[in-house]
Amino acid sequence: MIKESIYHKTTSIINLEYEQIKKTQQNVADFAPLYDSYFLAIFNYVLKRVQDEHHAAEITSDIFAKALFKISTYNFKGLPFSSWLYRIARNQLIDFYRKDKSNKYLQVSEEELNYLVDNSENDIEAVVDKENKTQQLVLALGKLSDDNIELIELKFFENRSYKEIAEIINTNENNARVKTNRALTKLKDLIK
Amino acid sequence: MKKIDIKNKFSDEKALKHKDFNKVLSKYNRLKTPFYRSPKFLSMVAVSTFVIMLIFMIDEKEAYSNGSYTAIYHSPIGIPIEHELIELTIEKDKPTQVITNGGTVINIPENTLVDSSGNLITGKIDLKYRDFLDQKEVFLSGIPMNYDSNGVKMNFKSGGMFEMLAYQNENPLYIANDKKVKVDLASMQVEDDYNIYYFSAEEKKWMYKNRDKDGFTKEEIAKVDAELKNHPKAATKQKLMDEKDKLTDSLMAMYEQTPTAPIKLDINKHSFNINANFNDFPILKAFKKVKFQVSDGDKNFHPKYAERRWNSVEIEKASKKNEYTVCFSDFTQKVCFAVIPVFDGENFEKAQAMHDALYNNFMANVDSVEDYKKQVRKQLAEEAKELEEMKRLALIKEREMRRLEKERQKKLQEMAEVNNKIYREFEINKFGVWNCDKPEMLPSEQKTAPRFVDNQQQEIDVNMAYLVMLDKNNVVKLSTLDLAKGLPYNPGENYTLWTLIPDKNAVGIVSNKQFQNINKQPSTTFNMELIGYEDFKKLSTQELLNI
Repeated sequence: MIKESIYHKTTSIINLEYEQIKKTQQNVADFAPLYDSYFLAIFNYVLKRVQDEHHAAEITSDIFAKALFKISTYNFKGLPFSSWLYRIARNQLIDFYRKDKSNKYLQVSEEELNYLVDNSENDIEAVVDKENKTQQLVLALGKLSDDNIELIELKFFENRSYKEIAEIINTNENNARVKTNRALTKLKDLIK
Repeated sequence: MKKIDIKNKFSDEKALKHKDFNKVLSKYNRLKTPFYRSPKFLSMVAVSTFVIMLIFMIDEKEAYSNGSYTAIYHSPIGIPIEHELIELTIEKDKPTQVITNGGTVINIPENTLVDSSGNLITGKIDLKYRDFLDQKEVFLSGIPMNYDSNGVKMNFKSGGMFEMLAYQNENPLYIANDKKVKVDLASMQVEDDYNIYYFSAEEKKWMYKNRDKDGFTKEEIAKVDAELKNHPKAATKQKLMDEKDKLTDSLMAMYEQTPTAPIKLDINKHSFNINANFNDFPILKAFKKVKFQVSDGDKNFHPKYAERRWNSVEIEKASKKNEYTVCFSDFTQKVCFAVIPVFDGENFEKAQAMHDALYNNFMANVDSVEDYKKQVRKQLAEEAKELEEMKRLALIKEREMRRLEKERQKKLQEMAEVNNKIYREFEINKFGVWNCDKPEMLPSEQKTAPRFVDNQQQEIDVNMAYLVMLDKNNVVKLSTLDLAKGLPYNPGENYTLWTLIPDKNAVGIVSNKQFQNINKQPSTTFNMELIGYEDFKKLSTQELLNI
């Protein structure tokens, strides 16, 4: 079972972060605490999606530099700063993939796949063959469209709320929920 | 397809080795400093100047430059028009003719191609050829279509554009100084008021070369248009357009009825129930299991009001999303609060389940109408394409009646009939991008401040937009800054707008109908249909123009 999500924040932490963002808008050096808080999360997010750790490190520093560059336009919506940061990270990865489609990559652990099987509401467990579960899931995930696989990553491998997923993929919460359910149905159909 | 690996998590210890805040700051500073003022740029300029001087000093005889062979163009959505690779053999003292898959005829006279030192070449060579014949292909090319005519900013209406490059053993080839390659481009556009331009990779701008001799006069086109106007296919096209517009309106109406998601009670905020006799207040029945959470912006609420027994209660929808105004009154006082209906505990779970079922049902209905609209759009695109083809064929037959004398033109005429294309003649003295164009003034009669939303009224950030003219092959690129100054258009002209939405990997399309409805409004909300990049590639130009 995957541990409690690191992406969920309490209102007080979200507000504290916003205070720090306002400070950064005055002085870029004040970005350091935010960088410290999110470096590992963003680096791991990127590393899961690119094969090479050095590429991941470069992309991660680009993401934070871009975030710093855009922080004057940050619009507080009561969401964790991470949602905004992940949106930048997502766009940076889209740019990276656009340069070379063969860069498209996803790293998952068996633990994450088990979590997906145990927690998906559309009962994937019923269609997987227990002995070849990992192989079946990897094969089926590889056949999903980029949009669908991203929704499954965000919901089940990163355990994010629909509200946060909506913010990252720039849609509303309803749509994020429905689209994720559809992605799961497609995954189930591909496994069958 | 994505490559997927099974691996265990990277250790935090190893990850932290890559943590470097100074690197972030230095990248940030680079983003902040314009590139032309950066030390890297200045040192590059110094080195380039030195290298250029060195080249001139060492080898003044070098006839053909390697560095300016071609510019690199980026498709705005990362899906380029692929080159057709043509392998051919050049023999000494013999001309060579090639016909591309699209019907374009390339005539290479004898002893025309040279290497970078100016030596004539023979033997196997590779021609890389691609053409851009309509709005979609111009858009995907990424080639700039703006033209500066004595300081006036204009945009090209294209009669047809191509890129041709030649290589031997992967080394670029050139056209000898005193020679020309003749390209008869199989074009889709019928007008005759074009010029020929070459895109200079060195200067990054279009250079005027000569006047285009082909195409048809306005009178010829008007005559054919008038004949086709009464063709049954024109009536079918109009019928399909009306059907498509009706479906668009139905979809807009459906989206307005999107089920609202339940909101969970926030225990840190004030909330209250209304206990009332539903026979006296039937309107409250709908809010039976609901709590009312006081909105953040409300200044009137005090918990003491929740303790009181009131004689009357009124509730009505406020203008703000999800918000209602509840007013309580008795003989002495009336108080009103801005509230949001919320659910707690089990009621929330039930409401959520009910909403999901409703939403799924709603989306299934929407999807079926969307699918039907796609079918209509496809039929419409086919009709429009057939009408365009009929127009070209009719014009080609008109030309036949003029009894052209030259042998080459006769031959092209035969080919035109086979291929259903208009041939445009280029005599090129360089490889690269050539265009048969007419610069046109940018639309400027009216401007409207645009706001973009998707079908569900979700606001969309637009990165870059392309104003696409429906009646001519003209695609105007508009930056975020241009859009901030207002979307330009000429009332009465037919447009569609293709916008880039990179974070959704989609092109947002504004229909022509919405342009027709602007009515000179200073600001307009455009409802965009989002088409994924891959779907955009698959849809025909006519389908894209008729969205």
